[in-house]
Amino acid sequence: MGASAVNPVAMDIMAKTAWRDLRWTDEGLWKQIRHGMTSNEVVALLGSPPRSVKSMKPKIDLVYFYEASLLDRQSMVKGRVSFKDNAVVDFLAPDFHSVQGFRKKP
Amino acid sequence: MKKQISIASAFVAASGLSLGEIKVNEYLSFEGFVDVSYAEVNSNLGTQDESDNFLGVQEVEIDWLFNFDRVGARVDLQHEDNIDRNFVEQAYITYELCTGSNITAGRYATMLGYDSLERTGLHQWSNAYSIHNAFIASPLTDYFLDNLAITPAYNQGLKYTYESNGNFFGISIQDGAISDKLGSYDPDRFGGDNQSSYGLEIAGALQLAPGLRWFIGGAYEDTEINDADSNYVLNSHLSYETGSWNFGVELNYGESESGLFAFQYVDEKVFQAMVSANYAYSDAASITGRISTFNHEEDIANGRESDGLKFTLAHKYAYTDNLALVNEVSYVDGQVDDNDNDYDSLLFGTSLLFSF
Repeated sequence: MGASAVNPVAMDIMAKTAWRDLRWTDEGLWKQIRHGMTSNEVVALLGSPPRSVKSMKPKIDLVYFYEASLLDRQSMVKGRVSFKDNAVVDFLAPDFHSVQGFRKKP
Repeated sequence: MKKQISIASAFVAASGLSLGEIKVNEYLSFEGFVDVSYAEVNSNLGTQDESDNFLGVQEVEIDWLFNFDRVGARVDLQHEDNIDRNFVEQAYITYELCTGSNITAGRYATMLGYDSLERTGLHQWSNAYSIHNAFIASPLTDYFLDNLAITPAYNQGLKYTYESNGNFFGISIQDGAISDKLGSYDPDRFGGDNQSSYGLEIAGALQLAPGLRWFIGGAYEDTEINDADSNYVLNSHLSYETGSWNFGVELNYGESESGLFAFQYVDEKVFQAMVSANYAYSDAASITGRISTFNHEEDIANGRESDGLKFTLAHKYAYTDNLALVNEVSYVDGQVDDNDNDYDSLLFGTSLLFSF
């Protein structure tokens, strides 16, 4: 199948859909996360989290997990944002450099 | 690197691999929990001693959430070992009229109750009004614990809710109210002749101050069990959260002409109350103290009367955001007037909770 068989409209939709869901993979956006931000502000910045959980920890209500695995679990990038009373109380930015290191392996 | 990840992930996302274990796609996600429990109880009723234990998956729940812009839907599937039952706990459709204003149709949980349907915050092993069997002779006593809460559980109907800045109002017209716990009575009819019922629930809540919330609501049910009998429940609770502390107070009062409460098949008045305090002494652990009381009175001359006072101390430790261990010790002291017998019970319960 030649390159001409790829529907450019479909590719464009896929790329934009993926970017909407994967905005959080922009390392610079994590530097804008601040304590006290609301969940709506976090979603506006990083996008909707692929996974969230009502936390069992007493001082945290909700945790947004931003995770993606490119090939296997070793290549997984993981970030999280924790909320209490709809305000960010803790966050951990993904270690994007560890993924880059993995990708350089032969 | 950003582009490398995003472009590669675009194809991973398109192929549906390794992304979002919970968010299936933008229209569908799921959540739930598993509760593996062990509990042991020693009871004494008059001259009779009894001990019992429970080991198993107390509860498994998987909730499917559908989101189509202003229309949402939810289907909760649940298994409870305690009552050996698999069932659809909730299944409803919600249409958002405007921000905070929703219409819901289907089978859904009651708006009433602070510590009756689910354990508040999953901080304890047992509900405030649940006790080991033998306290009140009812068909429910086949189970390890009887939840004597008089507030409704799940009904089918149409509900309007409005919520803004912590304030809430809701009204629901449904196929029943309190009788839903009987299971076998009129599960799918809305009034009419022959063993049928309809119900109404109204509830409201006010955010009185930051962290301080007051709720009041009631449920009314008209049945045809004994020639157009009526039943009602009133529920009010106050919760206050400040720093590491959570406090809760609840009052329930209900009257049933149709035998819908614990004694069953008789006119009955019930009063229930609870006060609880939860303190998070670290980022991972909290301790809860709770005192609850219940009084059941048969509404005839020289009728039966049973009452009890339950003391609960519970500890919860969260290993991760989605894995926690809950330990509880509860002591119930009461009287079963039916036999003029004192009743007491000591319960140890432990739960490993996993949520996803």
